[in-house]
Amino acid sequence: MIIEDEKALSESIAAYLKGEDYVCEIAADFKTALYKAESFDYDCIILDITLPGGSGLDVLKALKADNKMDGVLIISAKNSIEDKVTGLKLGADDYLPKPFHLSELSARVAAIIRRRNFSGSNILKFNTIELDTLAKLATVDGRALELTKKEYVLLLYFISNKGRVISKNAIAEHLWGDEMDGNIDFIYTHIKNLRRKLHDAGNVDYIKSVYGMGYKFADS
Amino acid sequence: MNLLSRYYRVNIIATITVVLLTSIFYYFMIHYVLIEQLDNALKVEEQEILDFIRTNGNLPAPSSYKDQEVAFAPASAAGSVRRFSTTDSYNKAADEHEASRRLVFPVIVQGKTYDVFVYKSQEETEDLVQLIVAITLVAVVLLLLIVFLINRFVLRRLWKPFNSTLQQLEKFNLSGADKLILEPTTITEFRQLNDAVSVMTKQVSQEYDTLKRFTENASHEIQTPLAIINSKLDLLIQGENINELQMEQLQDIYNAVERLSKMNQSLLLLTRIENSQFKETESIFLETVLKEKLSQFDELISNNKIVLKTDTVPLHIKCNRQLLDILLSNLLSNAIRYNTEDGIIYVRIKEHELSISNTSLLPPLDDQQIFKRFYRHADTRKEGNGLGLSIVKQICQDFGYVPGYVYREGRHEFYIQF
Repeated sequence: MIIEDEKALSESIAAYLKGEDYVCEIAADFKTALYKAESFDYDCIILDITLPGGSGLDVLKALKADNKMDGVLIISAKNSIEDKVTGLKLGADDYLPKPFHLSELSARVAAIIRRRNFSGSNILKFNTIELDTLAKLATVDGRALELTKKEYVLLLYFISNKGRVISKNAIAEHLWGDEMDGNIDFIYTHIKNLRRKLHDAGNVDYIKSVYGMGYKFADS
Repeated sequence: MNLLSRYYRVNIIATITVVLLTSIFYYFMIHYVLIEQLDNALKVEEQEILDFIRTNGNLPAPSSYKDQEVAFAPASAAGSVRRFSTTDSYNKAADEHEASRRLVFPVIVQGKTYDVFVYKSQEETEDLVQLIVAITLVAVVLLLLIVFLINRFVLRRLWKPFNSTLQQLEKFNLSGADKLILEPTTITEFRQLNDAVSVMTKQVSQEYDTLKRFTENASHEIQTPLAIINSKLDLLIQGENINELQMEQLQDIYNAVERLSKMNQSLLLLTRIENSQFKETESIFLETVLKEKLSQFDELISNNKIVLKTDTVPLHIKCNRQLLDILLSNLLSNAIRYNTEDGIIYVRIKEHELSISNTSLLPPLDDQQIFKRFYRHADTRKEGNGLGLSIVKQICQDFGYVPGYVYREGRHEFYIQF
């Protein structure tokens, strides 16, 4: 469920996530959000804090009071440590400050659902590639793939957003956070290395460059 | 010069002037009166001599006592003109020179003209004047002492409410929660002052709160539209029918949104530091934090072919961890961003000082300008929003550190004194 009062934003999120085969519902105000959160079970709730009619944190409190196991990702315009700490203390799984990239949001939602998943699947598959997100290991046909930390993170990001074009800005922010700017070009080095390692392990080239502005991890 | 000293000064100068002028006037008055008295005594003596001559027909015998002397001398036909004068004469009886008052007048005895000299000692008169001067001096000193004591004790106590209000105002901190505690006073002026101060600080606090909330809210509100733009861009680039030119344009929009977002975050951060919203401080071992930071920048440094040299000594500082992180990040990313290829970064921790210097193509910078918001050197072509150093300065201010810049041996050096 997406709890967000800005229609343009919630629709974007829903459109992107539907491409990942998620079923999304939208709640645009506090009352609807509280009603839906208490009446149904969701794998993940994307929760904005400032809502018309109340605070998103109260929705979170109500969920926890009902012992609900829904995963919660807070998206907030208030990018402050205190805000983040409050949210996580109340039982949210993750915190993503606005503005964010949809690919980032999607990867985080996927991570939350993976962690919440009781079937115990922390294995992410893409054709012959397998990622063990607990051990942070990558294998191809059962053979371990020697990746650096950044390359592993990059591969996980790509697979979480498979079939999607991810902008270089989104990749840079994912790899380095927003602290270090102006180094979008360094992505190229990491992509090149990852591509080579995947190729050496016998894969076709999954990483496709899109007019130099982004990359797409896809089969064909 | 404070109010009291200025008041003392005026007061003391006025007192001394008035007392001196009065003393001088007094001195001359007394002198005049005493001389007049002497002269009268001389006239009495003159009358006695004239009476003696009229009765006896001859001159009395010259006489000399301690305080009076009478002498005669033959004179020309007309004799001297009768007059009073002050002389320094020799007193035979006292065997000493002394100031005397003299009366000369002619007499005619048995057809011959004589000048009669009558001297009266002025010694006593002088003694009296000296005594008066001494008393006056003692009075002046006493008066000054009393004025000083009054000023010191009475005035100081009178001004105490004022000083207390002043102290409160000095301690007054807009972002602090504590209110002014003004000492109650019975003095109307000070009570008015306290009332005015209370009203004013209350108003200022309210205005400040409003402004603070506005700045924060504005920054927060900007984040949501930015999130919408970003999300729409993320969806747009998924489209199949976008050509290369359109992609380039989308890339420009991405970059612009990112810049706007970062600038907004920087401004928000500045506001929050200004508002002292980072209160928690801890004792931090600077070397450890620096090493962590440097490892984060490792890739950036090696990719730019920059050589990193460090020289550190153990140093503990009291700071907010989050702000220290930001401070180091800003300084280091500047040192990398404006560096040259195969350049050098020196990071040094000395006693109470951290300095980060780098080689650069830029000429020496204006140290008056660089810490100002949105200042960017005209020659720079690198990205940056011109807020990094302002944030560094603001953080330093918050913790009482001194930031600075020097250009040394072709390197730009930024230092912080703890």
